[in-house]
Amino acid sequence: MWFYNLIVRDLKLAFYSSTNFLFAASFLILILILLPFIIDPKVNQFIQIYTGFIWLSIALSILLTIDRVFESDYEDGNLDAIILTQKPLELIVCSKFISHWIANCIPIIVVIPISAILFGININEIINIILNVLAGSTGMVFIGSAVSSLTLGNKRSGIYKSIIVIPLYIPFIIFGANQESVLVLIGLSMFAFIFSLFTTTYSLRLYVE
Amino acid sequence: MNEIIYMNGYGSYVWSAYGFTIFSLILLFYFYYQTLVKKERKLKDLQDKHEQKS
Amino acid sequence: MFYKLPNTLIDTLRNWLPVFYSTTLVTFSIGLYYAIYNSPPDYIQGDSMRIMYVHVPAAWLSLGSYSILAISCIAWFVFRNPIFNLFAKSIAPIGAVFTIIALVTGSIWGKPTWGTWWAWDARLTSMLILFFLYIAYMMTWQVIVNKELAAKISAALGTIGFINIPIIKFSVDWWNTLHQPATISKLSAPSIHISMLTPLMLMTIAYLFLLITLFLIRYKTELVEVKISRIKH
Repeated sequence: MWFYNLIVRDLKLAFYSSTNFLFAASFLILILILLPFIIDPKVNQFIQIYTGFIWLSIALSILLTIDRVFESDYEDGNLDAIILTQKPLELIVCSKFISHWIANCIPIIVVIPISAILFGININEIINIILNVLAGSTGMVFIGSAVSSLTLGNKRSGIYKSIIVIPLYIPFIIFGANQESVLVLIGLSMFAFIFSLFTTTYSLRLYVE
Repeated sequence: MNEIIYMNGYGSYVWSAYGFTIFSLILLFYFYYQTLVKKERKLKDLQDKHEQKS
Repeated sequence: MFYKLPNTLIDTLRNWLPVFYSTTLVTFSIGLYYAIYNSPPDYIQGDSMRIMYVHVPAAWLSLGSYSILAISCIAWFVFRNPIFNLFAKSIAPIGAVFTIIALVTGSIWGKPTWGTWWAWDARLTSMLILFFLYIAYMMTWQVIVNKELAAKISAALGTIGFINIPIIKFSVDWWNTLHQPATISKLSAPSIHISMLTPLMLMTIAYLFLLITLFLIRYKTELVEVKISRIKH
């Protein structure tokens, strides 16, 4: 029950914060608005460029928002309070991952079919893209949160975080943007989950002592 | 001698690669050595001050 | 407690450093003599393959020093001895410079051989990523001000990079089979002749001695820095 309550609390906070649910979705739309000026949508192989832009904007929007996962709670001391409740830290971290994924990636997935219709992409390819995004964005959120937990309370770590995160995103981008390989993406996300769980609990224990 | 510099037309590639390698290695060595000397001097100063105090 | 290091180690290093200086110089001059003058040109690539003698050792040792870095990070997790942290911290910039040398000489070599400066195949891409892993590792010590915390975080980061390299190599390989035929296969010579193997091995030994020398200098600098901070507190 506390697990559910924690997720609901984080979602409410995300809803009322300045970079709320609208952020990721509007970021995607704004990037896609630029797309027709770069390349004519009627050109052959447009679908590849379109998926590439979607994956890029997912990666960037996660990079821009990963601070929110632990940083604000760490600053006002809520993170200590949550950890001091003696609940297993792994589950707390899981709830943070889930709430961040819901707040960031669900709006993107909702926006994708609308924008795809605007660009005249057929329904099979839309479904394909959505499945890929569902499978891949989870792993990307896990990795992003793990990296953001490494530099808690550090204001000057923007470029540092992207230098760590972007190499870790390469496999996701390759498998996500190129082919219908949902199973590989699910495998990658599971691997990323196990890995980020260890990293995040390790660094949270370091920072909150 | 001319043959070595010309390298059958590949001279510019070969010599720029060798030049870059040797230049950067020497630069790295020089920089490291300089840092070491500077730090050791600082340590010595500090140790001398410490001894004077005690 | 954290900075309890034996002073005798610094003295030992001071005695051994001149030996390494001279050995590096001697092996480098012998290796360069063989590489430039006393070895035959390749019968396909001509004289341009002489770049191999500075490129391949740098590439090998940049991978090797990342392995040393990662192994010291893992060893730190096992033994919790700060010496392993100093190992990793001292070898990181040297490995980064070797990676740059491998990348630059590789693209200079690529221009006459393949006709392009760069190709996005698995080996080249993972070398580029390796460079950024070194940068990330080194930046950790700059970004995180608390040294004790930086030691713990950077150990985790070195391990993450070690696991990431094979994953990236695998996925770029997979991506390559999809998009472009293997254009670079002609580079992998089936067997290397003994007259070319001699300078290559000599240059590798020379690079290895240089790596050890630079590592010792850096390690000594780190130890001196530890002593300075211990006196200050």
